[in-house]
Amino acid sequence: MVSPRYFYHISTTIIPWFIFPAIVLMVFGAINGLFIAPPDYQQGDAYRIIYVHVPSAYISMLAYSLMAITSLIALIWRIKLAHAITVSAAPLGAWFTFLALITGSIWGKPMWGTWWEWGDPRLTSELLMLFLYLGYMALRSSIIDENKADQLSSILILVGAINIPIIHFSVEWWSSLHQTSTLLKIDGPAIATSMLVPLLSMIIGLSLYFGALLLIRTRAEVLLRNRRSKWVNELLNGAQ
Amino acid sequence: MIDLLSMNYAPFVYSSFVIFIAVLMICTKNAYNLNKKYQQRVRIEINQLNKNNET
Repeated sequence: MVSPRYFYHISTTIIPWFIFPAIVLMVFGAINGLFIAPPDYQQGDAYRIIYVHVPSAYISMLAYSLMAITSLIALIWRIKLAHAITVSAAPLGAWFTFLALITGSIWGKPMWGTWWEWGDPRLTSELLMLFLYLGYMALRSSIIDENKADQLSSILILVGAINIPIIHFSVEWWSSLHQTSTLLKIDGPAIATSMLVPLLSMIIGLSLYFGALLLIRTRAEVLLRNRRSKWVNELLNGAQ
Repeated sequence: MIDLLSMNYAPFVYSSFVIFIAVLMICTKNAYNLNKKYQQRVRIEINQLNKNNET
């Protein structure tokens, strides 16, 4: 298993390898998505919000799925690094969920004629995920004992994981204002290549950026959790 | 030259991108601040511990 010390050093090395390709891909995706990709025949230029909305929504679900996996690993095998990853992913997941909701709302106004629809299963299940992120962070910070906080908050994340398939399949299971999946279709993506390339570029770019931010946060968390270790003492005294 | 405002629904599209960039900047700043804060906190604790050991 990866030792905290090894993780700390390897993450320091690989963070730039995530950040720079991420920025290149996102700049390419944003410029192409905004100015080069053709307008949609039904939605006109409003569809261009897809280039920020879909990557944000994807990351919001990816972050939660990752937290569910690391929570499970941490609870079964008692790996502290897994807890550090869970803790670090939560604020990022919350921000990207907020972003998905806001950009979705901005897209909804010109297309559906409303900023928000309470009866819509996709919208409300995504909002529920934001509350799960906030609930997780509130629960963790309310428990002083770190081990107890880790365990109880991990259980909350695992219980809330049921919401992930609900978000994904909500547009198929129930009638929804939200359109069905554009990319994950059995017969291939329902989008023209000239629109698809910038979208994939944004999704990959944002995933890499999320990875970089997660590594930065986890690195800090690992340092704090191992503050009584010899290697942290050597590292910080050496850096002074 | 591209006429940036000729796009229909331009305020909706651009505001989404602006919010997206703002959130990325907030997340980046928070991540680096957290790193700095924890490093300082751990350094203070270590120094305190070393001082206590000396006395």
